Amino acid sequence: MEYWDGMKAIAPELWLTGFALLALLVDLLTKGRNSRTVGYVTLAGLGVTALALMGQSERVTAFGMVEVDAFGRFFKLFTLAALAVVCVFVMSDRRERQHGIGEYYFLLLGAAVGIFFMVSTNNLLLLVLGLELLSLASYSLAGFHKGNKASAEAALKYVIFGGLSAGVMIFGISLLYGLTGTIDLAEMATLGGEGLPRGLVSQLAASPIPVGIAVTMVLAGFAYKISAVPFHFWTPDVYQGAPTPVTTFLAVASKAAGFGALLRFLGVMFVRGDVQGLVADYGGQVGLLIAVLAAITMTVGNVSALGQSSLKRLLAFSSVAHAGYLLMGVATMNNEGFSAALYYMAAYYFMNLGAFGVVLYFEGVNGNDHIDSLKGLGRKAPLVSIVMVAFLVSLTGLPPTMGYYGKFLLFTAAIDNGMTWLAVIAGLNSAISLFYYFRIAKALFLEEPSDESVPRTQPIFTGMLTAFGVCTVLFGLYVSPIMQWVVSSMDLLG
Amino acid sequence: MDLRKQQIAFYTALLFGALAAMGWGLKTAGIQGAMFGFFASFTLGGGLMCIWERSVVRSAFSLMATFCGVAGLFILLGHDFLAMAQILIYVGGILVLILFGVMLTPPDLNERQLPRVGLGVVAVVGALAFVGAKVAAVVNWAQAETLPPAETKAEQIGAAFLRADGYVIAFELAAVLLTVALVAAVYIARRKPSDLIDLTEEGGY
Repeated sequence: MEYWDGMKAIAPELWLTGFALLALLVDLLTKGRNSRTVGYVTLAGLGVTALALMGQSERVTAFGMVEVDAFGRFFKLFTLAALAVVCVFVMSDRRERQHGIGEYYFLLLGAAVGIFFMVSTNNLLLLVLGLELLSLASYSLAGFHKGNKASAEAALKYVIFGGLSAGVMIFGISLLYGLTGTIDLAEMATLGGEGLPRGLVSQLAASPIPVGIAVTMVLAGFAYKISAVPFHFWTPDVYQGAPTPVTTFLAVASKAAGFGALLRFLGVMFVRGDVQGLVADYGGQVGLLIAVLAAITMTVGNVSALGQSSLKRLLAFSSVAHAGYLLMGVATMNNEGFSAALYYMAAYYFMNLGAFGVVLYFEGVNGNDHIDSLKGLGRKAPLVSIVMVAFLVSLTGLPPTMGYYGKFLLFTAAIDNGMTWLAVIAGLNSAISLFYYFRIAKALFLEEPSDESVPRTQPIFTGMLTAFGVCTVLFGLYVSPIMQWVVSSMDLLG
Repeated sequence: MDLRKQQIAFYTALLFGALAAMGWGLKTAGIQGAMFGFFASFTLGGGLMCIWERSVVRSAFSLMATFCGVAGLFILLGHDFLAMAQILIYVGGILVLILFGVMLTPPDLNERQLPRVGLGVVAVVGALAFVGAKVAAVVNWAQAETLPPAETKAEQIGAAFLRADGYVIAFELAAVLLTVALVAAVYIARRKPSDLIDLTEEGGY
């Protein structure tokens, strides 16, 4: 019965895996002639998985490795939502073939399975497996347009950077295992210094340097996934070269999964109430390291974004900058900061899914993603352009949007925890970001169109983007529903 | 110094290093220590050769020494299954893959001559080794008092993979990972004309 109970606890993961295989089977049976069907199967799978997730309420540990809790559920539900949007993007991408791309959906679902496990485990083995599953699927998705040189280059760069940082991370994990004799984070944090397995205390009492080296190496792996400086070099090239729906997936789902796993790693290892005193103290120093990383990441991201002429590249650097803002919440190493990061993550989902969707729309109209080619589109496609401005306002962090409230929470968390310097840097960075975000708005509305052609309307696509825009503004004004969800999801530290 | 003399000096140094390691092992821990010295010098020597040799094929073959040395270390620890897996996967799989890769790349003699590692690299490695030794002195490894019973049979490993309180989830997730990797690899390697159309250049259909 152990197996049965465990399987009931991980039912969403099983549904997702089942539907991934079903998608592959449907693609096989239709001989790849009708990839839209595969898309609908995928959407159905995401829906069923979401229902299974929402049916869960108790907090259990399945098979001794998988933590089923509200924190994981928060990330899983957002992952499903993001994937559903990416699927719709793929189906309505006018530059994508509609046949023979069944693998697209299978790989997306496979990546989701990886995300599901990596955000809900305290076990480092399962964490690495989930991370690698996500990475492997992402590599091939980035190179999905095989005929396109940029896409192939993106995939290759992604593989090399990914392999390197995964290697560094696994080396760090093996050091942690050597120091404690366990791969379970909770055991590392809570056990005493005697016997085997034992806690990190035993090493910290003697000298913290080996723990520092190990933790830094593990953080390098996370920094790559969330594209924090100095592991961000792949981001612009991969985001630009990959097909736009894949870029959306990488920027939103993959990055959020990295943050989910990072928060769980740090929370379980250093922040929880039952953590040994010495380990918790050391966590403060790790927080300081992350704070420095956050400051560098947001500055590099914002300054590099200033000179970009490609919209996708610009949004890539903007996503590096946002990783910096999110790290600000992580660096506080307490409930307040983690909650702020979680709220900002929700905001990040809405505004980035929207912004990339608009990029996809404009790509379909113009055939490229240069900012110059957006000139005058505000008159030709007013609704999408207005919605884009809402996303840009939110990305900058101005009221009345989700981005504003999220930044407000992050700044408050940083100041409350004695990191005023970080809040000041983040404030300056927001001012810098205003320049490049509003270059897009200026091109849309204040410049003359170069020709008179009118873009074809795409009702479903436009409707979805508008819904995102409305959500971004609405949840910025009426913050309590998302805020309540965030608060109830922070059972990680309890 | 010409190339030949360099080569002789390098391999002599390697040989003496290995002999010294074995002798030191024999002195401190008897025949087991000597065996450790033997396998350890295989592991490290193979790695050194790999970066020393300028021909890719030779570098690849010297990796074989490294992999076999690691397998030997596993046997010394009483994990014969792990040693077999090491040889099967690394020597039988990865090394052959590397050699295939080398063979399939067009022979360009100028390009195959890899540049020899410079003094700068040696200096950096030396500094890192120094810091590493300093750190290693304060590391408090989690060591068992006695060696675990030397009978980790394949049967026990198999049972641990499938027990509900063992690694069944990790095992199954690895299966999913392999499936995804396989599909991804097939997609990337497949050459259907429709896949190769550059959609972005044409601006769609």
